[in-house]
Amino acid sequence: MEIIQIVGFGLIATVLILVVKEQKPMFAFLLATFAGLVIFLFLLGKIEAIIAVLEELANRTGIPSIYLKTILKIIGIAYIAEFGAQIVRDAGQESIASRIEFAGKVLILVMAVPIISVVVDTVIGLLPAGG
Amino acid sequence: MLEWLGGWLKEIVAIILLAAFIDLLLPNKAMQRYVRLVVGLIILLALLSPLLRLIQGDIGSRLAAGVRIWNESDAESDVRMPSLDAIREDAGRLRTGRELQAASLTEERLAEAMKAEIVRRTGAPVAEVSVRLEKEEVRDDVPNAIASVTVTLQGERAPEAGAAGDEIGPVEEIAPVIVDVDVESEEKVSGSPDGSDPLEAEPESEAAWAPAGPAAAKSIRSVLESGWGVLPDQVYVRVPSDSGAR
Repeated sequence: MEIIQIVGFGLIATVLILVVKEQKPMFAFLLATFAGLVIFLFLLGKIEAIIAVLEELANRTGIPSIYLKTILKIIGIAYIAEFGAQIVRDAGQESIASRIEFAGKVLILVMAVPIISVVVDTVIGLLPAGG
Repeated sequence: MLEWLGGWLKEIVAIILLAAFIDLLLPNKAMQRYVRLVVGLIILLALLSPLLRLIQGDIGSRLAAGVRIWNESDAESDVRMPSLDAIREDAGRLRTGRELQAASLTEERLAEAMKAEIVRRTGAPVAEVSVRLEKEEVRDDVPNAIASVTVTLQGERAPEAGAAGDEIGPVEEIAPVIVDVDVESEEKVSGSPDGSDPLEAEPESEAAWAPAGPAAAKSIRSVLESGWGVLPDQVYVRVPSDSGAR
């Protein structure tokens, strides 16, 4: 029944924000950020459970741990970048939010570099030498 | 064979399941394209892994090495602030170096001043004065107290300076005897007439130097003691031994 808690928390936060927004937009922003953080941290435990399941799956099927590590890093980067971008977007700074998202994308692509290099190495090794 | 095939298929299925999970977990659509690229590459690698293993050995370790190198180069490109300890260490090293330089400069200046003073007051033919500073106990790292003063007199006029006791002469006779490590010969050395005064001998003096005559040495010591407070046993007065042998 956590969903009820979360929705209730979100609704209360929204009403409070609407009330405060007329007088002090600054505090409304802080309230929104705080509410977002609380929900995020609340869900962190659940995400941890999912990740544990994934790890177990990987262990049992013998996937190289480097794959799982890369994928988990990608998820982490995506979540953090998204979270930060949303907060900044709420404050009305659209351009900074898009920069944060851009950074997230670049960092995700950086994860792919070792994989790409191995694949390219193999392909070059496949070609006949000096051909 | 079948076992190996099963393992391979299991790996692929697990990775694809993982990929589906990831797709669901992703927060928004904007990231999806990028994540799919990376996950697609991983699936490709898993599919190709038998081929890769056939061609070039263990790809897992190579991949791990690649990731590690990448992470290291990433970390190196970060601007790293030196820690406070490192800064302090640097400062200490610089200070010690500076003070050592100052000490050597002090040694030179002291030697010059002493030489001028000795020449002025005793008229002895001083060729060179060298001062060695040493650590005082209060401050351990930098030499700042006079440890010893070595005064070298000019050889030609040394006999004149040490005219009172002409005990420098026999030194040359003794020198070859010292080489022979024998009890008898040692006794001969100690028993030889006019052996060099042990108090005047410089500890690290080599065959090239001999102690100067006691009269000159005494006057030089009194000059240094009154001028700089150098204790008499810290002063070594010497002349070149070949001229002393004359």
